[in-house]
Amino acid sequence: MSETRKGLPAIEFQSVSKVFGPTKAVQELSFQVNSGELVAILGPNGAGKSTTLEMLLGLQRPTSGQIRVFGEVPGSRKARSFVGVTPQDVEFPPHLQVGELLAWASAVHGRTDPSLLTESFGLRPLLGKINSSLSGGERRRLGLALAFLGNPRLVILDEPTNGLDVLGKSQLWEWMENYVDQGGTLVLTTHDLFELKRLAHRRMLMINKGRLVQDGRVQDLMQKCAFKRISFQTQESVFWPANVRFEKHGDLHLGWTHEPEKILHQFWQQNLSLTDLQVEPGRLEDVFEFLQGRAD
Amino acid sequence: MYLVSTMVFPSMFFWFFAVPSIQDLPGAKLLTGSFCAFAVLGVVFFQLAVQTAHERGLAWSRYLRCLPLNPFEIVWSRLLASVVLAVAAVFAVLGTALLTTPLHWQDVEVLRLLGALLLASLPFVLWGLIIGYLVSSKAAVPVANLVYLPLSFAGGLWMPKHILPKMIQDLAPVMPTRMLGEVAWAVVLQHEMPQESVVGLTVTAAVGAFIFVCISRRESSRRG
Repeated sequence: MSETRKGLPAIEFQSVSKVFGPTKAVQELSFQVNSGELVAILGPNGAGKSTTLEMLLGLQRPTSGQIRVFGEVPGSRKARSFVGVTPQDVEFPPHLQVGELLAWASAVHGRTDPSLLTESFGLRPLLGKINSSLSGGERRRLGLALAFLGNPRLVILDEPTNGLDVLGKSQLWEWMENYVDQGGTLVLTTHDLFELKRLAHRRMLMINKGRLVQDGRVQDLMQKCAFKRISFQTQESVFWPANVRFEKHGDLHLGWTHEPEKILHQFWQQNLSLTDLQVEPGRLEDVFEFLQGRAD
Repeated sequence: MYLVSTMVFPSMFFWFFAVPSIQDLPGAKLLTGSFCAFAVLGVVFFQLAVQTAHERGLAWSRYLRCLPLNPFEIVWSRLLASVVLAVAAVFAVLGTALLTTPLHWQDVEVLRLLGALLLASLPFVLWGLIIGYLVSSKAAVPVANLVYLPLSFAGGLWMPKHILPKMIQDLAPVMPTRMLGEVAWAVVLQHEMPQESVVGLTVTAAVGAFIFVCISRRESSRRG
């Protein structure tokens, strides 16, 4: 069992920035994750999520600022003994069998017994298969089992449900919740709206363009996503209500609102001739842009 | 990945280049020693240089850096694999020599030859790792070939010294590969170990160790 220092936060980011040449991947990121929390890190592609995780794992060092994992520098031997990880795209040694890989990983983690994880992640039928013959979902389950091996105090999962079927996702969420309920700390990245609904009562950190734009509960973000997106084509002038965000691209008009019926009724009263009218659920990307605009 | 080339090529080269010129037992011992040294060099450059360069780019290597592993365990396991392959490659050359030349088993102190070659190959281990850290995985194979094949030829490992071009004969004494060959020849011909070669290999190893430490530090700071 990995030892930790009681009272220390699991993760501390203090004014962390990371610059690659002219690109500011992460800018002045500050947050703290306490033991026993389940935190989702959200952000569109290129937001800085992966860079943040790499710095958390010690694979990259920050250009400025400080990061600590249970009081230790990320990447140090002690910090690595606290942390379990499933990267998004790891390829396991192709000629090893699943059972051999689990046995090796158990030895790395101090002779931990992998049998509970083998059962929980449905790996028993795969023990004799070589890694190169695994499907994407099977590889993902193996990666997840390896993350929890050795009962680490902090588990970091990068888009953990990618490649899993509905049953697999549900089982993983249940496992994650149990793990956190027993005192573990879990950080995961996602940009799956439906996954967020499952984690509604949990904490979320939203990163966009390298900055932290939201730190709060997932269900609060979902409230922001409850708006609808209206789109239509017209050559006529359109007068949107003052509290509605809208865009015009030639004849294409886009608007985001929580009250689409009211807006459309107003357009009907204006006798507007609209074609290709669509009303769609709000997208996470729209929320990112909205929150980023507020942060700017 | 390079098992076939590192196992087979030294034996093949021995057959093509050495066997036609071997006429007696001392000649057989000399060239067997040379090609055993060449076999060890091939393993070192392909297992360490090429494999290191290849693995550096893999997501698996990044994953290993997240585990509570001692980094020396990874290097050590790679070295151990190289030792096993080097021993196998040496035995492949010995087997070819036994089948095609006047050499007999009792003519070669196999364990002493293996021990001497493995110890004397330490400088090349370091230089192999240096190449593995400096080049990309795509460039590793051609660079490894460009380094170890000319070095082996220039060191006079493939042919008796007197039939090499004059320029190579003049250059050979300062080549580390020549020094490796001298160690091998001292064992197979039961001569005294040449001190200049031992000192030369030690200096090569020291320089290689210094450069390797600098590169390791640069790699570490590059991540920062």
